[in-house]
Amino acid sequence: MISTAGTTQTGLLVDPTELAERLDRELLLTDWRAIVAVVVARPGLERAIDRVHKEVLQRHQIPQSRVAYYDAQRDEAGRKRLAAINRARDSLLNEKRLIWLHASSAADVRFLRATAPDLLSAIDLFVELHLHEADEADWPTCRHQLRELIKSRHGMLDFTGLLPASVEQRHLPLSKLYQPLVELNEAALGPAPRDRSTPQGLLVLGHPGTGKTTFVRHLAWTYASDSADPLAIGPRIPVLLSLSDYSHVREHDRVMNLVDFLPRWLDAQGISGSKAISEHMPDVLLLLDGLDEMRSPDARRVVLHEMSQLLRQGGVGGVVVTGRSFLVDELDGEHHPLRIVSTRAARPEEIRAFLEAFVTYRGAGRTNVEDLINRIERDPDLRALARTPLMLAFTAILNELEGRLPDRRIEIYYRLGEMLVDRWTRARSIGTIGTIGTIGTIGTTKHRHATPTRADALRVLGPLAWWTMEQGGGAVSEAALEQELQRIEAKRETAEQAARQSSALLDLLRRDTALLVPRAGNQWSFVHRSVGEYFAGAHAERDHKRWHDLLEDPFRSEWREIILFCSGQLGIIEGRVDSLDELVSTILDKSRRPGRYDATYPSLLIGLLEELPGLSRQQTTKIAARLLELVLTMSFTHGAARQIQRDFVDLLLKSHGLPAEILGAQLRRWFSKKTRSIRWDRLFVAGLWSDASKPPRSIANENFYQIVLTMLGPLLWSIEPDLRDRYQIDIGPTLVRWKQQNDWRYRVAEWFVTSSDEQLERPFGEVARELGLELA
Amino acid sequence: MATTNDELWHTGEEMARPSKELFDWWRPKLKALDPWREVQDDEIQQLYAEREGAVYSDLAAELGLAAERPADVKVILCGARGSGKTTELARLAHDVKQDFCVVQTDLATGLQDGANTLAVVTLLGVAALHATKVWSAPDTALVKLLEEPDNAVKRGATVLDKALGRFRDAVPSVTKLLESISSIVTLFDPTTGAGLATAAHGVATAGSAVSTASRLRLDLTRGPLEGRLPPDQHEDAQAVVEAVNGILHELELLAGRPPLLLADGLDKRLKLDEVALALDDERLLRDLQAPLVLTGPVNLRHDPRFRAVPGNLRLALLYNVPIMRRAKSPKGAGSNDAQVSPEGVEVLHDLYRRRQAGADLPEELFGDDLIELAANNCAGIMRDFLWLLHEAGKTALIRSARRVEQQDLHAAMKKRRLELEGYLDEDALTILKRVLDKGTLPGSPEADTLLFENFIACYHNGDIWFRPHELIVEFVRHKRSDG
Repeated sequence: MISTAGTTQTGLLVDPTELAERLDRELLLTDWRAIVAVVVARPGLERAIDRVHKEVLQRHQIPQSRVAYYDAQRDEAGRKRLAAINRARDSLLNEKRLIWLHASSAADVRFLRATAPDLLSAIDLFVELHLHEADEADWPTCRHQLRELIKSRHGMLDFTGLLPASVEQRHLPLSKLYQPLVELNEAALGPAPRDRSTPQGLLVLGHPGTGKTTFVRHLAWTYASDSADPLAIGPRIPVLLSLSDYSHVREHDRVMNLVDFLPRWLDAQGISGSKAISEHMPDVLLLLDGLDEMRSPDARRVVLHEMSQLLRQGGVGGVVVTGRSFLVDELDGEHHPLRIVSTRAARPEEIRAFLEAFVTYRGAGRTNVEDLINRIERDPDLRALARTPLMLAFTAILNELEGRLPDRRIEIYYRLGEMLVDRWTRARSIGTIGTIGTIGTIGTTKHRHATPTRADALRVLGPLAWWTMEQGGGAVSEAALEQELQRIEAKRETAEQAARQSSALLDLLRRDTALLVPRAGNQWSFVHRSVGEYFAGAHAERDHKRWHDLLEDPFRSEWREIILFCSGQLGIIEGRVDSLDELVSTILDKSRRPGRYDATYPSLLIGLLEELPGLSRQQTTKIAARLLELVLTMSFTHGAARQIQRDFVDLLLKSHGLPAEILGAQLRRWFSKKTRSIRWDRLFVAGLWSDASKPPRSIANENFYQIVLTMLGPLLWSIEPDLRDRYQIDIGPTLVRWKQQNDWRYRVAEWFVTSSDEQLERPFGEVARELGLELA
Repeated sequence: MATTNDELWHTGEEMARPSKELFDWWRPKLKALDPWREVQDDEIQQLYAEREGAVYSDLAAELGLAAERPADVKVILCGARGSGKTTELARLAHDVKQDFCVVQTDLATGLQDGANTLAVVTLLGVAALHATKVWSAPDTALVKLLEEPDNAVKRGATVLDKALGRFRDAVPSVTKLLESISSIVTLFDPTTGAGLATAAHGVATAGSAVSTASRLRLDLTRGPLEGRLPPDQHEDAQAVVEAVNGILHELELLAGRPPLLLADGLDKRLKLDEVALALDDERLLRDLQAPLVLTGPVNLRHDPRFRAVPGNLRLALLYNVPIMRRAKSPKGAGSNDAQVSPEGVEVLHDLYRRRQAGADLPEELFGDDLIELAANNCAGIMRDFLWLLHEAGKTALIRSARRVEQQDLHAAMKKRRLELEGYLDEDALTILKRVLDKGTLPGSPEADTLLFENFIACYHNGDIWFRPHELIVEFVRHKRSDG
């Protein structure tokens, strides 16, 4: 029966009863042509849809022959069928009574729109179906399931694939291996928000492999198991979300706020009552991993803005966002409520602890590990490499499997790549004799070329890695991955053969190598983003277009690692100095050119000096000269200035050999002969109150030492005595110059450099009085 | 069409509201405003507003002036979706049917995927042959006609079969194509002025138009009619053109007036490269000895082949009704701020008045202020304007009212706005922001798609300028400040 009584429903969201009513109404009103209905219903509601469909047809006595029903199928066959319906719009409107288009997502709707634009311009009814009973929010259940999910998903580190199949224990407990490489004390954290009542918000920045993801995974596990409260925010329900998932939805489905996206993401993880989370955000610790995996800078800014708003309004229990260091360039000034903190290098005792745990929990022998620890502690190159958890794990694995240790990052990735590719080629060879189902399709002929080579592997892996980087570097759907493999293969094979090979290749990549690992939602990603970047970098020079692109925009922040790997591959692995020289010359040229991607943030130059990918002495000197010029004279945003100084000081403190020699010579020159050119007014801008004409009264009782770090920046903080002693810098001319300045910061800096450690522990207000500084 | 089953109204408890009587009261009014109702040939003049410098009247004048060499008139009518291309074709046919033998073909349903220009020519040739049959022996069955020793249809089919046979591959039999072509061809009877055999009517006895057109597409799915034509087959293609010209000549003799080929629906190809393929050998179309007007997507305006060079196919562009104009800046220079243009709004007022008169709609159904509000928010697309009125009418019905109020129109506008917004991803928003800021269109396929899909309007008052659809302007502005 038709019940139009009192209904005023015209909105998008309807339940099945309302859907039936709306269809009834349209059919009653329009009896001179077919009505076009688009019904969006997420998977699981098919039964409800069927019921409405049958009821309505029966009620209006419409035979099936006068209904055109289309269920959005985004494959080629589905596209063709829909295109045919679209072409026949006018005839269908005349002949049929009901044209029903079914979609499961906004992406489906966009597909409908793209494929059947004519038909969709004639929509009579557009609704999204939901069930009230399914939507009932149940926070206790949701909370419990979330905790269990986090504990099961993040309690262990998975080394499957990286470790040989003969190793029995490949899942190792995170809590035992975890080394805290993110300091959460006030000294390490960036400036606190002005309103200190806002909940804890952190933006953790660091270079690849420095343990950002491990940090948030450990936080998630810790709060899920209620075992500690490292953020001092009290008990919270952790939600750890990869921002690449969110980004994917923004790009491919619809633009929505992150908080609106959460219930949908939780649904996909199988959590019940997910809608309840929106009401309970103050109980939630939101852990957002991989800000850099969002491709669009606009989208990244929107996420940070949304999180800032939530924190300011107390709308969330806590937020931790991780991202690569280059993102600091995008932060919009000093008043961000997210405090910036960087991952730090592992200390010797932490390296030892990690390696011992790594061996112990796998039940392996300790002989090798003692030897490895000794070698790392003795060798400065190895020590520099082992500072990041990922490199340490790779080093340990290589040491175990190959009994040898490379001393450069590029060599570790190269060896690791060779090892993984070798495993792939062996698997594929086995496949040709029929062990692995579809793999046989590649090697069905007995031609000797049927056995894959390293070149075959690189031919596919390089472009594939580039493609995943272009997608943001995070997880990609299996269907998209296969499509891309097919596209790569189609460059040299017929479409049919390419389709066959891509299917088999995908099978191999998934099952027999550690290169690709599964993620939630039938998605795949490289085992670590940096492994994808290595293959992209190794391939770059072979791909004319991409090589050209790299040379055009070498300072594009998301290409930093690719450029570094590419340089290493050319200079260290392949010894192709012509191409390396071209790349380095371009980088130097472009470091002087203004422009969107030629950012003055000198992270790439620091990376080149750290890794020294076969650079000549002349190139090293030029890079060092440009780096010092940038750091000591250029103006950066507050957030970026702090990070740059941190990276710069880190480089100065860990360099040895040729770069240390060159950096030292140039530093001495700047501090003695060019001291007037150093822009201390810009170097002092790393603090929250740096632009104030007087120091604020609120810091009067705080430790002078910490205030200098927070307010005057890492470079000043490290000059005395570390940098001065290491590089024999004469800071006399600098002190003379500071004395001539009126700004209070120069007085504080001078006092800091010339005072003893004991004096530096005094309260800031006391020192300020001694210096005759007035507090604001 | 199905009639309302009275039983549906009895709930067993009480009569549902709004009442059946109210539904019956509203139905004819909504029908009059329905942008998707099939408008009969004789209603067109009455129901559609006259635009300033209407393309159809220009084309009619051009055809009149080219009396000596009408075949020189070769035009592609381009415009966004809903800009009124089909209506313009219908009005042109209506205007010139006394002087021309109009053969209108629906390429959207008749042409197969991947069709090349040769397929278009073949289809137009078979459509002309169908017209020949209708003009010479409308009541004789095709099979019988082809058995007769000598008639125009048999001659044409034989010559065209022979020309297609030069391609050796299995080419479609012209007889087979003729059997299903009626589902996509509309002819006009010059003596009565009525549609002689429209696509929809023509299939009344032949079964579903959709399935007949599917058969036609299937028959056309042959090697030579798909994909780019190899250079060594150009001569063979030219032979097909000659065969079609022979058919056109026979038709002219029979009808006593030159044929005019109207081909609608090329713009319904989904991909631009499919459109490009169908026009790839455009010289084949140029060589047809009949005037030809094709409709195409707005993106073709970038194609240098269709610039105004004598002998080329010429582009005729359909712009949005200019309901907005650029505001003058204090210094007198143009700016990208916009204000309502009363001239454009008046065109839409006129459209409503025509519909009102045609269906005897009550004066009070829509106030003038509502018509103006709908006009201001339809981006100058007549179809969107009607849709807003139609939808607002439905909302008023739900309130059990007999007069549309502002709230009803606002609800309709909101519905359309949400629908538009739902399709936009970040890339599209970036383009729309740029269009809003600059008033120009970025040179990318994505921007072209947004233009074609009516997310961007193109106005031609003063210079040509672009602006996001009026309903999403605020959304785009808001997202810009987000960014």
